[in-house]
Amino acid sequence: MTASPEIGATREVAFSLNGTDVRVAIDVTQTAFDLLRHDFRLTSVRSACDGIGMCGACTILVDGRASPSCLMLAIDLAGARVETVDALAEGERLHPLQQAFVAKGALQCGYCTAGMLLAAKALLDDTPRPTREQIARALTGNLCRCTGYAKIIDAVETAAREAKS
Amino acid sequence: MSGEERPSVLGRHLPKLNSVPAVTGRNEYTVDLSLPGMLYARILRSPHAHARIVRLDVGRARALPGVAAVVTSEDVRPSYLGGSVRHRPLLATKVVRCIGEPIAAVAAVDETTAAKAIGLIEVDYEPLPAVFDVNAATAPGAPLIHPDKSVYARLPALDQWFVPEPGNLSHRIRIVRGDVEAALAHAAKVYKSSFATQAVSQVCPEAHAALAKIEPSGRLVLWCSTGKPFRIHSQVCSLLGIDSSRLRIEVPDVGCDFGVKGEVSLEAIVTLLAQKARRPVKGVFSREEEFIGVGLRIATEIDATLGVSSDGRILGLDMTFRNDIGPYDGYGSMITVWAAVCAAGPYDIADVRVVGESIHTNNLRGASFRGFGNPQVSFAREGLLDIAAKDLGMHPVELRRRNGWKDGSVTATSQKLSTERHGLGFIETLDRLGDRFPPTADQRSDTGPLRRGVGYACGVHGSGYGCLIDADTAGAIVKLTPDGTFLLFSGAMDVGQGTTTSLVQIVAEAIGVEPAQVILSSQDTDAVPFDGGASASRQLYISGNAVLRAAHALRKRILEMAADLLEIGADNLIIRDGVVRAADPALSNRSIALPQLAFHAINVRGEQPIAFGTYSLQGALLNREGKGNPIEAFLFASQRAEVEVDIETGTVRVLSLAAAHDVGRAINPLVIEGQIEGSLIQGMGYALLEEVRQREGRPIGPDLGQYLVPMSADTPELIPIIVETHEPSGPFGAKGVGEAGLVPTAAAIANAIESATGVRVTRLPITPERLLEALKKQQAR
Repeated sequence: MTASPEIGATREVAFSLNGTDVRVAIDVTQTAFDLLRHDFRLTSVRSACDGIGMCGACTILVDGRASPSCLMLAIDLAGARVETVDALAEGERLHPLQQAFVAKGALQCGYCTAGMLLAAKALLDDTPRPTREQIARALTGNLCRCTGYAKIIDAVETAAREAKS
Repeated sequence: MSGEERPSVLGRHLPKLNSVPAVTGRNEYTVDLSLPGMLYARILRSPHAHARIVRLDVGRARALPGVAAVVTSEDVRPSYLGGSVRHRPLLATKVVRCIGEPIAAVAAVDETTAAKAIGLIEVDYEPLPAVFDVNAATAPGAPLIHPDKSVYARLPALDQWFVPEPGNLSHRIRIVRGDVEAALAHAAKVYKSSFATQAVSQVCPEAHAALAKIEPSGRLVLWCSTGKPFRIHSQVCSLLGIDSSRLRIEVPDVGCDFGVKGEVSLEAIVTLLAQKARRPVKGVFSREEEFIGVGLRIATEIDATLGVSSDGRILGLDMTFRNDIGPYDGYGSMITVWAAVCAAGPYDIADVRVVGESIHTNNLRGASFRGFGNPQVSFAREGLLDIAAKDLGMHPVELRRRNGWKDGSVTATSQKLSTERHGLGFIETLDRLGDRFPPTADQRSDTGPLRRGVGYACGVHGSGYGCLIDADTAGAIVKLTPDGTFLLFSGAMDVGQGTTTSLVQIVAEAIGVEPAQVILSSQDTDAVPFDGGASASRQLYISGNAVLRAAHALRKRILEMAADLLEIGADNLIIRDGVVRAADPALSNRSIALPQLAFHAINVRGEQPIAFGTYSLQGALLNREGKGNPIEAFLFASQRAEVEVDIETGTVRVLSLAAAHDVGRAINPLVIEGQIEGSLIQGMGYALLEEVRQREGRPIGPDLGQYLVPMSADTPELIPIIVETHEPSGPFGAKGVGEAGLVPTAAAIANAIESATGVRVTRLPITPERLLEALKKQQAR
């Protein structure tokens, strides 16, 4: 830790965002959520809890780990590999998780879907064959008010199974 | 339609239309929109539950650089909001009646400036006596929340129940069948209990959001997050005095509605600010505003008495309930009426009396939330039925089956039911649940402090606005486009529930094409015919009928045009694989592809290949005694909960929730399962976790750190059981499902907890503290 920065001070940070190297001047008190949603206009990074880390809608992958971007400072993205759902598909070809979410009816209003997919991806990258219980635990920071979660868990299970075969 | 062997589009597990946009992050909600030069709105809200505004000075806010407009009640003509009684001002006039009531609003160049301007508004309040409990509110000498209650406009359908005498009682509805006092006096067994339910928040992930702009023509356009754009349209126009043709509403993706996005506040405020500032203005509610600014599920107190014969026939039900509607009767009294209609459940009871009261308090406003008052009264009724079953030594499903509606049954509103007119699949839902879980599977078990038990509950709801409106209406347009696909214009909304996907299936089935050949046009009040919107489980049924009529009309016209060209009678033509051709295989060379037909229609024949359909359900109003036919299409749900209770900690783990639902024809089982599963989890939250706790009208929290909703680790095994029947008046025999899922869930869980522990908790939510207290009382006995 360095000495606490002054409010309003700016710094330049460089990181990889969805596979592209970016360099940007940020306010040192700015959250990663604010940087991605507002400065980079990545509207797939959403919020339902006003930035207190309770809904998971703003989940991003930072070096492969699912992190609530509202609880991270933008400055902490320096040097990291940052991914949002926007880069999950390869062109028009959906990632197996995305395909499974579509096929299994794992979304309704779709507001939580981006965060849910990223939390699921982090899980499968780390634990390719999770049990239903592990899936439920891995996603439990991500609020969905529509589905009842069962179809989301089904979809993650299906994606894991299909990746295996 | 003879000769077609096309696989039906109905019954397919078609993914929702918004699936690919949602998984790729390309979906777009009102909160995501922005326009050049856009200003940001912010609202000043009351910190008092009841107070007179003695001074309001916005001068310093107006003078702040970056502030483009400030509005107060002086900028709004004297006009009010409210479904049941029109008495809620957009911005408070002289009095505030609950915490969070809007007083003034600003539009500024950025959110920081808007927040700063709000802080510069000066208000002096003189606190007034307030009341926070329905019983205190109706006691003699209670402070009056609306001393001039009779002067406001009211909903005609409810007016017979309006209470004109001074007081905080807004409406009192009575539904009477037979003579309940005599029935209870003669019943072999009588059970009596009181129940209470709590205020809960809809917790739409996308908060209320709205963006208003003046178009170059001078017309206004409003983008907003709602499932009911025509309702918002009429409220904004009447409130602000805008001619209805001067405003159009366009709805992007919607991050949930659950009933709460149909009462204007923010939508009119940003429109007003945009008119003042002559620039686009956007507003998004904070999560706190989602608790204090939009209205919650109504908290209800219920007293109920049930009389039963020794062989398990329900002889009489006497229920009185008090709804805390808060200071304004928006949908409050409509909810009270609907709850009263559903209170006796799907049972034929000869003698019934239901009295429902809507009572004003200075608590947070009550509002619509999936189920519309029905989960509250069903919690009480199904709890009492469980008490009766246990006392009679009868399986809880058997007691319900013995009394359940069938052909010839009569409802509490004296509506005579016949299978000719209504789909009556209630008994089938019990049967199907029983097939999956035979009574022998219901053994309760103990492992140390862990007690397992099983509980059942049932409910009935309606598809459509029913007795709350004279005519429940929808329209739809279908047109054939030059490339042979069909465009559907419907005001039915997808707020997540998925109806529009089913509507596309209805069009495809009716015309004879694949669902991929039907596109839903964007939802813009300029472009689509009127539709009552996503509410009251009505869209698949009401809008579905309008869509079906439009599709049938267009198919007929297409076949007639093709018949002229191909010189074959229209009756002998079919549409298959995008081609109109003779049904007779011997004439299969006589055909025309849909794109050619579309070209021919417009460029040769000179006719638009387009058709319109409309549907309206009428005649459901109740008389003063509560008699009438309030529901045409009944939704039935029978549910089973299995729980494990730790009697040392009072924690309840729900192991499984099974739900058998009569949905009529299942147009899209994937969508239906999604509706059932989602409502089961909301019902579980209602039963065990959720409550907007208030202290003197001030919510505790209120944020998602303190207000708990079910998360994935809480999810039990969910077992949706789709019971297909035929709804005679539904499109292809279908009807709604959206709300029915939530109606019996809390009761089923409470009954399971009783089965596990022998203790009945009659107040929701059943928290560990409440359950431990009840267990302690039981041990002391």
